Amino acid sequence: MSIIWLASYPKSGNTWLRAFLSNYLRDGDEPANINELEKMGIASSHSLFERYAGVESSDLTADEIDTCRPEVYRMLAAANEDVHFVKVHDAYTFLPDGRPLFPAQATQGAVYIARNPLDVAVSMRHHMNDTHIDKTIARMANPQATLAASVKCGNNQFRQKLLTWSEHVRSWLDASKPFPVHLVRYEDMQQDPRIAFAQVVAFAGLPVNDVRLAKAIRFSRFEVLQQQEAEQGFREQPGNHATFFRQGQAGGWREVLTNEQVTRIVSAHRDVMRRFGYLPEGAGDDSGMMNDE
Amino acid sequence: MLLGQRLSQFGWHTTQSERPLATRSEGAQGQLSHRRAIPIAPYTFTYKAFGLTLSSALALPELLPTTGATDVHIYEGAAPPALDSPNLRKIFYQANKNRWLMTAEHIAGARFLVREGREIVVERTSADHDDVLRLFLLGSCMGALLFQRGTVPLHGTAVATKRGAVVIAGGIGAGKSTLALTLHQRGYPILADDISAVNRRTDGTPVIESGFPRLKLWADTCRRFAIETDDLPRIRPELEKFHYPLKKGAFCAEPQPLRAVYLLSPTGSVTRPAFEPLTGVAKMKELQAQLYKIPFREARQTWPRLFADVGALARHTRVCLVERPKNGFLLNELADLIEQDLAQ
Repeated sequence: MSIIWLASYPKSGNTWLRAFLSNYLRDGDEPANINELEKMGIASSHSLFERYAGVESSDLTADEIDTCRPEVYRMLAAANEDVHFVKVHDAYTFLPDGRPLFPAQATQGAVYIARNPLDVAVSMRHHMNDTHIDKTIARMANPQATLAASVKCGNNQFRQKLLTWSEHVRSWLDASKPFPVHLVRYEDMQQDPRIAFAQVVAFAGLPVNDVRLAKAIRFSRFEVLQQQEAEQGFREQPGNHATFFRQGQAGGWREVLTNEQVTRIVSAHRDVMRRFGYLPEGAGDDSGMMNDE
Repeated sequence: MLLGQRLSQFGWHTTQSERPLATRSEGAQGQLSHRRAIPIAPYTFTYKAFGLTLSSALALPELLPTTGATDVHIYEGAAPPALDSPNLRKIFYQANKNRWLMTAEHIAGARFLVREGREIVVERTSADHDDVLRLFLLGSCMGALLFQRGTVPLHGTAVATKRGAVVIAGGIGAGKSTLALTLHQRGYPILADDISAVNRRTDGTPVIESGFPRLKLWADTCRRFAIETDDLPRIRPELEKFHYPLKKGAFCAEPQPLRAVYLLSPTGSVTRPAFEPLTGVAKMKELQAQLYKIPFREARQTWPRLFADVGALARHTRVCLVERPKNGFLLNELADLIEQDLAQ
């Protein structure tokens, strides 16, 4: 059966959503193991690629890998009987020959998770082990930004093109897609998880069951994920010394970012931030807002 | 036979009657363009790898030269764009029991047909990809050749010790080469990189065949071991990955009885390396998962005897799961533990 992409910029709640879905699908008596989420699939995994390509991916360039990815996903979709969720951090892009990286034939739909870039910056700095948050802010404004670009020992993912944070959001949400895209905000998952997660379940075409829903939300609470990481580690944690599940809060940026840093993020992403209600007080009623009218 | 052997060394092929398998396979495919049973290309080069003597029309400088009767012919010829009824199909290859076709025109500038465990036919479609062509020839094609011959190719790097061959296996990015290099620096010669081919002696003892005298190393691994990369050839101009040649003494050119397989697994949950010897079903399953570049379930459909072969391998071999911390390799500690484990 076709794939449902769980698409997001890094550090935007993708793992949380996958933990929820794992628990919902599993319907067990204890929380699903965070180290088994990968069974749901990661679009940029070398081992997934090799399973369907049949060659050693580390002998290929990132561009060559990209040209094979649509076919890999078609084969993955053809091989699966059930609804299949696959995590994606790539922006929705096209290959030089015009084919989309994520082919419609393999796709049932996409869930796009958006999070306030002010919070993303704080979380991503730890995740990427950036020496300074200014580096992270620049990364989020760089149209050439990628994940896992440096091929080296210990990297089990291949390169993913992120584009800028704003372009990432737009690439999945703006242009008309040959498949449905459901938007969910990280902040809504936090504020009213029952509604946010129930919508995702319904979008995926799964039956919405209130008891299962409540249990899956409880089993994927931030504290549960954090505790599992403390006890047994998290496979998908990048190879630095940061913990993956760090704070899991909305608005944490207020304690970390300087006014100047906030201004820089806002001026780089104002339009998209406004759309999602992410502009901080005082930043929304300036000329940017006027231009919109 | 002797004459044929000698002739092949001088670049002549053996007679048709001496290579009945290749002849029969032509008929089976039934395509006129592949009827040329006996390649006329002069076999200028003779190499050894995996216990086989390879006569090759292509220069393969990664391999050890040798002399002797030819087991496998590598030549330029016609490879079809598709197989008639493959029971295994991937993006880059399709296969049945005795034929394995790799179509990599865009990336390697060639198609490759591996037949009957006896020959590799290379049809070039463009001339600009020789580095990749050799990577695919010495990687995927060699793996297919070994499967066809009934050898079990494991995905792992092997070092030779006084107590036998030690295979370091594990997923992508687990650190196979890095750990193998650490052991190598303690004086153990490298036996095989990437493909550890298992054959069994008549008494059932598994042996690891000697592979190629080189390691493929990423730039960051070279840095970690202070290996100067200025003079090393890149595996491809586009990649920060190098051929690290192994000089005489650094490479073991003879097969070694298999002593142990260590499955390296980076995990977040351990702060020190942890060894877990595997038994029973777990051992069998883990060994199955280490086949070179093909899921066991699919490989078994094409080569049914793999099930028994891997089973026999499991009975004869110590297999340990080695969890290492994800943050920090602790290479010396790992190497110490492996040496202690071997001494038991």
